[in-house]
Order: sequence, then structure tokens, then C-alpha cells
Amino acid sequence: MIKIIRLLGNRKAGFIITMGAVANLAAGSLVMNFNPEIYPAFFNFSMEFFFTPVKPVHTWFYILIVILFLLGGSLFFSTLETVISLITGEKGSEYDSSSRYYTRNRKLAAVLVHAAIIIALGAHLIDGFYGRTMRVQAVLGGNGFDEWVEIPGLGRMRVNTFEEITWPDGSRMDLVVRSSFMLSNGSREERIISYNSPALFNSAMREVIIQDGRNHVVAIILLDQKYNVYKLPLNRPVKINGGTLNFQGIFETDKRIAVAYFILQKGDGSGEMEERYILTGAGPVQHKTLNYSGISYSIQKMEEAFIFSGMAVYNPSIFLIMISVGLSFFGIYFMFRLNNRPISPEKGPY
Amino acid sequence: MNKMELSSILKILLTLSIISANAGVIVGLHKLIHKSGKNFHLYPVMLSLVLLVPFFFIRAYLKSYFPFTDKVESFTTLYFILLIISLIYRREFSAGESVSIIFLGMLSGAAVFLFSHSIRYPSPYLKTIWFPLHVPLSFGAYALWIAAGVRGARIMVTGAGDTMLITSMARIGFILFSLSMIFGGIWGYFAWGAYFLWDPKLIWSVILWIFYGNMLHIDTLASFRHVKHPLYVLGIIMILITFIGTGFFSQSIHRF
Repeated sequence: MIKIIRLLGNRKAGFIITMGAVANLAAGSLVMNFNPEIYPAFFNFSMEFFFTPVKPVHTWFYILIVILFLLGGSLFFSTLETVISLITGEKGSEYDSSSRYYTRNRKLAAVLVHAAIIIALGAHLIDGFYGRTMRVQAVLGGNGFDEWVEIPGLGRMRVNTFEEITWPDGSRMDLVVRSSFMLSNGSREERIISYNSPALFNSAMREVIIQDGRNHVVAIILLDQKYNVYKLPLNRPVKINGGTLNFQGIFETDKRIAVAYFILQKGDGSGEMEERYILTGAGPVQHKTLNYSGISYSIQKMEEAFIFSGMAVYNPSIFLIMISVGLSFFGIYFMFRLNNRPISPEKGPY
Repeated sequence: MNKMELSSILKILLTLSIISANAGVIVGLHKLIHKSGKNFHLYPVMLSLVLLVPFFFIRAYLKSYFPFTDKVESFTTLYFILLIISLIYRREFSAGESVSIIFLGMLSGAAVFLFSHSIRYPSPYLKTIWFPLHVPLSFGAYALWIAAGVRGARIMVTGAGDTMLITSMARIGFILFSLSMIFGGIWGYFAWGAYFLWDPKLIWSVILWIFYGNMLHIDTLASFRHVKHPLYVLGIIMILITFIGTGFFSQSIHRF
């Protein structure tokens, strides 16, 4: 049995596999950097991304998965062997007579750190397959939108107040958002969310983090020639003159001119979509109105509200990560003790 | 004293520090050539470090935060830690190694003059206890691994030197980097909702961590020992890619 364990946990094979993982990650990093259209600059770990659909450009990742499985197996069996040698007092196959620092501490450090790595690899796999992230946008006071935002698996969230703290130059230091949560179990909780300080639930398995939060135009009010008023909430199609108008937000052009951006679906049965813009500031009259079927619409008012932008995270493996971190700390402690041995300097010729 | 005057003082302090480190390199080279015994070259290095202390304090005062949030401070921190390493291991290092490490530190410090010295307040994501725990530890690991690579290069060239010092420095570097990764992971989960993201800097940090963790086993693998020193030298290139490559030439969230 011990021979089989030694064979599967062979150190030489483990060393080569690990270097394979290093080379593969380096190659993957280059592939990602040179294909920014495929790999977003900032994205979370998700297995689905690499498998829906399977693409040749992800080959490095598929190889990585195989290598990490091999590495996990190699680590498991080599750790098992070390555990057995710790229990039985045997030297273990990694013992080398020329190695001058073979100690019990080394074995303990190896077992703890390797076990932490194996658990972290497993946790990554679970998170990669079953973890979920979801963008959360909540408008303070509702303002035409649902005040309570649904977060699947957690419940509902509402923003109550916000406070921006700034540096002396006016740049943002922090944003403190007071929020309420109606949890799935029916309880209500008040939480404060700020940068680096999310709202944590279920022992940190679920969290709501802040990404941004500021005042945005959430609705635009248009006026036609007959003084009819139309309120268009953000991203909510509104029927106008037989067609449908959808306000997409305020954007800046290349020349830094602010415009209200709309998508117009014509009511002539063609279903044809058109992009339309209206200047929000000073400019020629023809650019300050939107014309459709002989009627021109102009901006009467824009309504602003604070929008909380964040992310709801579900990580079912966070408990495993906590165990991994705990084991790592103990392993690091024993590793640190290894360095108490005296170093015999062999000073070379000056 | 206004901020402009303090900014000027910062440049003066850094310039004097680099001049002093440069003097250390010159004295060290003299020692190397003439095979004299005493480590006189470390006195200018000490002065160089003393000059950097007010540099960091003034930067911290000007931005009301820990002074390693931008590229000027990052490169200066690496410079500072490399000089400290040259002092800590003064008994173990040969003159050549000591001079090489001081020179590499000096290069890192001198690179700062390529960048804008304007003081910017840190982003809200940096306002956390995990930031000062994460960054200096990783810089400490970089410096130790660079020193291990320098020893590797020396053994490759001269055949002289204790190879176990490499393992010892690499192990301490691995301990520091592991702690840095743990703190960075906790920070990442609280700030970005993930302890790992497919970000070039994070990937290269994992690469470094796996690489140096693996290298800790090489002494027990007789058939791989012959590649130990070249691999530690290769490690310096990997550190440069992680520190500079991903910081300047990638889409990383860690980019400078």
C-alpha cells in the first residue's frame, strides 16, 4: 500500500507537474493579455465562462484543469505519505542524506501547507461551478423604480441613505451606504456597506459589495408641441405617438458633449429600431429636440437619484477557504521555525 | 511648509539617497577588486536608508495614507527593502552579491525619476487594513527572492557560496508571500467579491508562489539539483514580469 502511495505521490513527478502548472499559467496569462476582446480586463472566476462554449483559445485553461487535477492528486498522495511517516516515525521517501535540514517541523509544515493547497484547489472548483455573482443596482427612494431589489437566494435589498466621504482634493475616499435587507427567511436586517466592507450573510457565504454609487439621471421628462408630458424612467420603454421610446441614459460624445440617448422602436409594424440623441446642454435647436412622426419632443426636466451599484456574491466554498487559510497559518508557523537552524556561511573569495 | 516645498524635499531626499547608495556600490566594487576585508560600503547604504525614512513619512503626510500606493512609492519601497536585505545578510553575502543587490535596489530607486511625482490620494479600494498588510510583505518576498537569484548567479559563475542560503531566503520569501497572498485574498473577497480574479498581476503572483513553493523541494530531489541555481536566476525574470510587466504592459487592475 505504502509503495502505491509513494508511486502516486512521487516527488519528482510532482516537481515536474508543478513546473507544468507554472508554464501553463504563464502561457494563459499571455493568451488573455493579447485577446482582450475575449477575456474582459476584470472578471471573476467562473468555469462557465470557459465552457460555454468551448473555444480553441481556451486550450490553455483546459490543459490547466488537467494539470491541476494531477497536481492535486500528487499533493494528496505525497501528503498522505508524509502523514504516515509522521505517525510511524519513518523517514519517508523525501529524506535525502545530503539534505541538512530534515526535521519534524518540515514534515508538519509540508503536511499543513499541502493540505491547505488541496483544500483551496477543491474550494476553487466548487466556487467555479456553483458560485454565482450578480450585479445589483438599487435606486434610493425608488423614483419610479422598485425600491426593493430582488437578490436571488438572499432576499431583497433597499438603499436607505448614503454619505460620500472625500479627500481634500474632492476625490472619493469612501462611500457609506445604509441599507435594509429582507432576507429569504423573513427577517429584516439593517447593514452598512462601504468599500472593503461588504454586507456579509450566512458566515460570509453570501455578500453584497459596493462597486460604485453616485447620483445619476434616472428619468427624463419630455414635452411635445402640444404640451403633453411624458416621463421616461431609465431603461423602461414608454409608448409615444404609436412607437416605443426607451431612455438609455446620459452619455458624453467624443467631444465631451452630454446627450440623452434613446432607442426608438417605430410603430409602423416594421419593428425597426433607431438610435436618437438629444443635447442636454446648450446647442442648436434641431439637436435639442427629438422628431418622430411629425411631432418634436424636447427635454423639460431630468430627475436625478442616487444609484447604488454593487455585486451580490454567492460562494458556497468559503468555509473551505477559511479552513485552508487556518491550515496555511499553522503551516507557515512550522515553516518559520525551520529558519531557526543556523546557516553555515561559506564565504567565497572576495 | 507648503506641499510644493515638501514635494521638492522628497526629490532631494531620494536623489541624496541614490547618490549615497551609488557611493556604496563604488566602495563595494573597490572592496571586490582589492579584496579588502571590511564592509565599509555598507555605511553609505545605511545613510541611504536613513534618508529614505523621512521620504516615506513626508509622502504619508501628503497623502494621509500609507506611502506605497503608487509607482513612485512602490519602486522606492523595493529599493528600501533591497538595501535592508543587503544589511541583514551582510555576513553571508560576498562583496559581489552585496554590491549587486545594492545596485539592483538603486536601479529601482532611480527608476522613480521616470515617473510623475505628483501626490494622488488613494482610491477607496485601498483604504483598508489589508492593504498595508498585503503590499509590504510581497515586496519583502520579491527582495528576498531577488537576493536568492543573485546568490544563484554567483554560484553558477564562481562555483562558490552556500547554496542553503538560497533555500533559506527563498523560504522566508515564501512565508512572506504566502501571508501576503492570504491577506490579499481576504481583501479581494471583501472589495471585489472574489479572492482570485483572472487578472495578470494575480495570475503572475500565483505563478511566483507556485514556482518558489516548488523550488523549496529541489534540495531533496537529487536529480533536479543541477538546475536549482539557473531556476533561481530565472526567478528574478519572473519577479520583473510580475512587478513591472503586469504593472505597465497589461490590462491589470493592479497596473500603475
